[in-house]
Amino acid sequence: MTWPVLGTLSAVPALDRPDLLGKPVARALELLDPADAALVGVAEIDPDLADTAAFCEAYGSPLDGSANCVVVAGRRGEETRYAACLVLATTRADVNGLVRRRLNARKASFAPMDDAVALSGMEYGGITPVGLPDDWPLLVDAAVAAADAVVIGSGIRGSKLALPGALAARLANAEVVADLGR
Amino acid sequence: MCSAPSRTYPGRVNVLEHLDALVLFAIGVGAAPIAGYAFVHALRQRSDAFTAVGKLTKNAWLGITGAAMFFLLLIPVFGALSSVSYAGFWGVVNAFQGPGSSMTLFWLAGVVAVSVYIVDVKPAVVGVQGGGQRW
Repeated sequence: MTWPVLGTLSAVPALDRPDLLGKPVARALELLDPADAALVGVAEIDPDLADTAAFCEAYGSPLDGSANCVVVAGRRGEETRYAACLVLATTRADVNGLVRRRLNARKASFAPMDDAVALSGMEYGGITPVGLPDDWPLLVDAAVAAADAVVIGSGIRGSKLALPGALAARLANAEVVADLGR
Repeated sequence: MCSAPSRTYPGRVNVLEHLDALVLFAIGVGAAPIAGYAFVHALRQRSDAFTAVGKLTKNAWLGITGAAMFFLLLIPVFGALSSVSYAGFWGVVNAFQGPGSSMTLFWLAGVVAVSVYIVDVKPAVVGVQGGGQRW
């Protein structure tokens, strides 16, 4: 198994390098079917280059081969519900439309980074759809699900994961949503 | 033979005669910083916030508010700077003619664009980033 979507990086199976995974990410990968887990690669990167645009530029990875994980907070009255959205880096999530309706919230916004980091147990800039809290829906844009492979975060800034889009679409709590990315 | 007294007084300016220009000047001066503010505000927002609330992209709004700033702020300011030395205060007034400028059409379009940004786009973009009013 190779992961050409990672550009000039050479990846290894993610479970071979648990040191390159955030804790919740490693736990979630161990819970996957071993055949699925074997489809996930990890590569070490410079933590300063974790932001998608900088990452793609530095390592020759295509921008439409990266998926961004956006944490959305939906509020209705006192209650706040969270969801994660996975959209290609070339598109942006329709937060106030599709996501707000899916969360049945009156108001939806990007979760403040402090909240997203604290609740997910992942690093700022490394938040990934693998290993999110159990009660967060994961909305996967249909374009991600259809991709041969996508690059996502690893829970830390110092590495990236690559996996087939179809696998991203069947992660825990995942649902594929058409037109999530605009 | 007596000459009739002159009915005008050279060297004095009756402000009331120029009230229209002063009103247009006030409007033009008022609009200029708002256009600058709208552009700077758009510049400082994260780009996915615009899509998140279903508005045009950040780059589109930068273009729109930037063009508005050009007609509402930059042209009047540079006009004033270039004419103040030889035309003084009235040169500045003339540069900030607002809706009475030689580019009324573009000026008005800029005012409309900036107004839409300030009352519609800005609150939505700020709100989706967790700012704005809390209930």
